[in-house]
Amino acid sequence: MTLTLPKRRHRRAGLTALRAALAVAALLGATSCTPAFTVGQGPLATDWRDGTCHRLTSAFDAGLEVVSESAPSVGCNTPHNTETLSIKTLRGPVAAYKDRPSPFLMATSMGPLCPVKELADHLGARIDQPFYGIHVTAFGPTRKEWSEGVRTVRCDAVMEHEKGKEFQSFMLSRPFKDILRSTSGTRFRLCRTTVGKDLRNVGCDKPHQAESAGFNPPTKGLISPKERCAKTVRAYMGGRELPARYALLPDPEIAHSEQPVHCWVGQADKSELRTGSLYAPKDSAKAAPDGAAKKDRTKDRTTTGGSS
Amino acid sequence: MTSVIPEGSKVSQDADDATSEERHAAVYRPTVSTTSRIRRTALIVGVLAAAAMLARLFLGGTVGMADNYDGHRLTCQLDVIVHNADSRRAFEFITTRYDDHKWYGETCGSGGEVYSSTARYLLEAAKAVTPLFGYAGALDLRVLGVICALLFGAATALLFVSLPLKTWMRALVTGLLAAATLDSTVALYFISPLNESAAIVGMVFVLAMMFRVVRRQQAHWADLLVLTGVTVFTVLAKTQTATVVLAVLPVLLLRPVKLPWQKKVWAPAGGGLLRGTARGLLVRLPALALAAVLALTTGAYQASKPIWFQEMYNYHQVFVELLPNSPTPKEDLVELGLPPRFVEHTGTRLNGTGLTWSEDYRLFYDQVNTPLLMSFYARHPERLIGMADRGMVGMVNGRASYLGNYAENTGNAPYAKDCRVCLISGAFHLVKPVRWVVFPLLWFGSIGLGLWIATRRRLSPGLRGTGVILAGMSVATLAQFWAVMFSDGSNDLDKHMFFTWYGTALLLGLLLAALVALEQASRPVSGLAGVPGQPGTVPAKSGARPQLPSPAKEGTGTGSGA
Repeated sequence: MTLTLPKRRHRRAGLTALRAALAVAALLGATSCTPAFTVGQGPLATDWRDGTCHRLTSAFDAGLEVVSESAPSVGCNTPHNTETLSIKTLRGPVAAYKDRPSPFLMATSMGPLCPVKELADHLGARIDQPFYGIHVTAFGPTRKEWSEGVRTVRCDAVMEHEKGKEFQSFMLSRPFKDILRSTSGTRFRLCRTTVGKDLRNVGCDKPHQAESAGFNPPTKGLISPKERCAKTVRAYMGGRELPARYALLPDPEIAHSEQPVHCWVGQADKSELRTGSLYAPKDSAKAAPDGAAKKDRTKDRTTTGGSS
Repeated sequence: MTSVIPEGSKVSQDADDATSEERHAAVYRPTVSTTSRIRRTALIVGVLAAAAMLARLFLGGTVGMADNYDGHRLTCQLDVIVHNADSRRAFEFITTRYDDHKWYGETCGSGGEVYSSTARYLLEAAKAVTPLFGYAGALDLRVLGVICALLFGAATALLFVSLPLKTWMRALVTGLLAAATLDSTVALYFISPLNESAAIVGMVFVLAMMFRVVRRQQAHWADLLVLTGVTVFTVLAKTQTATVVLAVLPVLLLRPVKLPWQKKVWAPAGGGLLRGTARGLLVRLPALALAAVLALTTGAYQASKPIWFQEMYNYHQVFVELLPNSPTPKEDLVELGLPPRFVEHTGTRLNGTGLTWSEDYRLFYDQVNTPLLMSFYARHPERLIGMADRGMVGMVNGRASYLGNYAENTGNAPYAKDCRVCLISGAFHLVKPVRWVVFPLLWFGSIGLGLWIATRRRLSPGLRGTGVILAGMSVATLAQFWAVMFSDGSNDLDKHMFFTWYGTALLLGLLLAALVALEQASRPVSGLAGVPGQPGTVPAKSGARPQLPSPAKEGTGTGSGA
C-alpha cells in the first residue's frame, strides 16, 4: 500500500508526537512511582521527657553523623539501651546558626552540656568510682526542629556494645537508675584482664584478673597505698573483709599522700580468672552477713587459665 | 532507513521527499545490510560483554567491594540493614545480604540530611528481584551485580553500534573500552551498596550515546534526549561525577538538531557572521535547552549534598593535604586566618581525635571555605606539583586498600583484593615510575589529538565526533583529578581517584578509535564513505566539499541508522 505524501507526513508527525508523549509519560511515571529520597521514618520529633528510655537498634543509630534520636520511646522495663538523664538548652554562638550545624560541631557544642557526673549520679556511682560499658551522649534537635527554633539537648546514658557483637544483645530490661548501688550492676563495674602483654578493661561480668574498687582520694599523713586501698575496698565490699585469696593491687604501688590511688582487687593467683563482682551494698555485711556473701558467691565463678 | 549524506553536503529543505528516499535506498542498499549485520553483531557483543561481567563477578566465588559506611546511607532508604550489622567485619569482607529494618528519624540519610543517588533505583530493582533468585534476606547485592552486568552488556552493545568505525575496529575499540569496566578497579562496585555502581553503568551509556549523537551531520532529538537522560542519571549517582558534564556538553551542542517541524521554523537567511551565528543557535535550540537542563540539574545536585561533606573536605584539605606536605605549616595556618597552634592537629581527620572535638573547632568551621583554600593555592601554585604527584600515585592505586573484595568464610584473608581482570590496572602499576611522562602525555595528548581530529573537515562527522569525545573525556578526567585533589585531598585518595582511573582507562579505547580515524583519513575514499559502519573520509579536492550524485537532496543525516 502506498501512502500519499500528506498522509505520510501526518503519520510521521503522529508517530513523533506519540514518541514524545511516551517519553514524557515514562519520565513522569518514573518520578512519581519511585519513593522519594528520605531520611528515616517517623515524625522527626524528639521525645524530650526526662527519664524516658529508648532503643538504639544498631551501631548505625549511634554513629558520628547521627545528631538526633526521634524513634518512639520504650518502657524502661523492656529491653533498652539509653535513658534520658536530663534536658538542657544549647546557648551561645552555635545556637544562633540558622541551619543546624554539622554533626561534628553539634557534638562539640553539646558535649559539655552533658557531664559524666550526671551519669555517675544516675547510676549511683560514688564520685571516685569508675564504671564500664556505659557513657553519656548528647542528642540534639532534628534539622526540622532546629529550623523551628528548638535548641534543646537531651543527655542520655547509652550502653556500649562490644565491637563484633550484636548491638541488640547489649540491652537491659530494668532502669539504669542506681544500678551501681545494687548487685545487678556487675556488667557496669570496671574490671581488667591481660590480653597478650596489654591490660584491657572489661565489665566484671566477663572473666577478669582484677576489679576496680575505685579511687582513694589524696589523704593526709604517711599511709601506704595498700593501706589506703584497704579502706576503699572494705567500703566497696559493704564493710566485709577481703578474703585471703584476694590481693590489693594499688596503682601506683608507691604514691605520695596527695596523689590519688586506683584501688584494684586481684586474685592472689595471677593466672586465675574470675567472673562476677566483689561489690556489696553498704552495711550489707551487718544486715545480712551470710546472705550477701552467699549471693555473691553464687554469682562469682572462678576459672583458672590463660587470659582471654 | 539509512541516509548517507557526507559531512559538508548541503541539507535540503525537501528532505521528506518520498521518491528521493526510495531512490536513496536503492542506490545505497549495501548500507542497510551492513547496518543489519552490525545490529546482529552488536547483540552478540552485548551478550558477550554481560557474560564476561557475570563471569568475572561470580566464577570462582563472588567478588565485590566492601562498604565503607557510605552504602548504609543509601540502602537504609530501602528499609533494609546489612546482615549482622554489628558483628560482621565490615571493611575486611563484603556482605551481600540485607534484611528488613525500620529506620527512624535521622538515623537514615547523612547527618540528618537526605542522601540521594540514582544508585537507589538499581538497588530498588535488585530488592524487587531478590526473592526470584531465592536468596535469603530482603536484598542481595549479588542480584545488583546481575542487573549491572546486564545493563553493562546493553550499553556495550549500544556502544558497538554507535562507533563510527569498521566492524572489526569497532570490536577492538569496544573490547578495550569494556576492559576498563571489567577491570578489578571498576567492576567490583557492581556488587556493593556504594553509588559507584550507578555511576559506572551511566558512564558506559553516556559514552555510547555520545558516539550515537555525533555520528550524523545532524543530531536526532531523541538521541539528545537520551544522552541528557543518561548523563543526568550518571551525574545524580554521585556528586563526584559532575565532571562528566564537561565531556557531554560539547557533544550536545556539536550538531544542529534534526526536528520533524524544522522547516516550519523561521531561520535568518543569507550570509554574514551574525546571521550564521543566529542560524547556528536556532538549529541548536533544543540542544541548548537540554544543556541548560543538564547544567541546572548538576548544579542543583551539587548544592543538595549534605553540608558536612564540604566541611569534611575543608578539614582534610587543610590537615591531611596542605599541612603535612607544607614546608611552612604554621605560616600557612596564619595565611588561612587560623591560629598557628592548630599545627598540632596535622594529619588528623574530621572523625578522628583532632581539632574536631576541641573548643577551637568552631574557629575552623567558621573561617575555612572553598574560596579561601582556592585563593591560597592561587598564591602558591608550586604546591600543585606535589599534589599532582600524590594524585597520580592515588590514581594508579585506584581502589581503597582498606576495603576487602571477598565474602567472609570463603578462605580469603581480610582485605584480600580481587585481581581476576587486572589488565589496565596492572599496566598502570607498571608505568607508575614514569607516571610524570605517561599520564600527562595521555591526558594532554588526548586533548590535542582530539581537537585536531575534531577540526579535520575532511573526515566524516562520526570520526570528527570521535575527536570531540576524546578531547572532552580527557578534559573531564583532568577536571575529575583536580576536583578530588582540591576537595578531600590526600584523604582516602586511592578510593576517590577511582573516577580519574576509570576516565583514564577509557581514554585508551578512545585513543585507539581516534588513531583509527586518522588511519582512515589517510585512505582513499571507499564507496561507502561517510557511512558509519563503513566509514571513510569525505573526498577533498583543494578543499572542495563533495556532493553525492542524486540522493544529496533528501537525507538530512549521516548515520548508520542503527
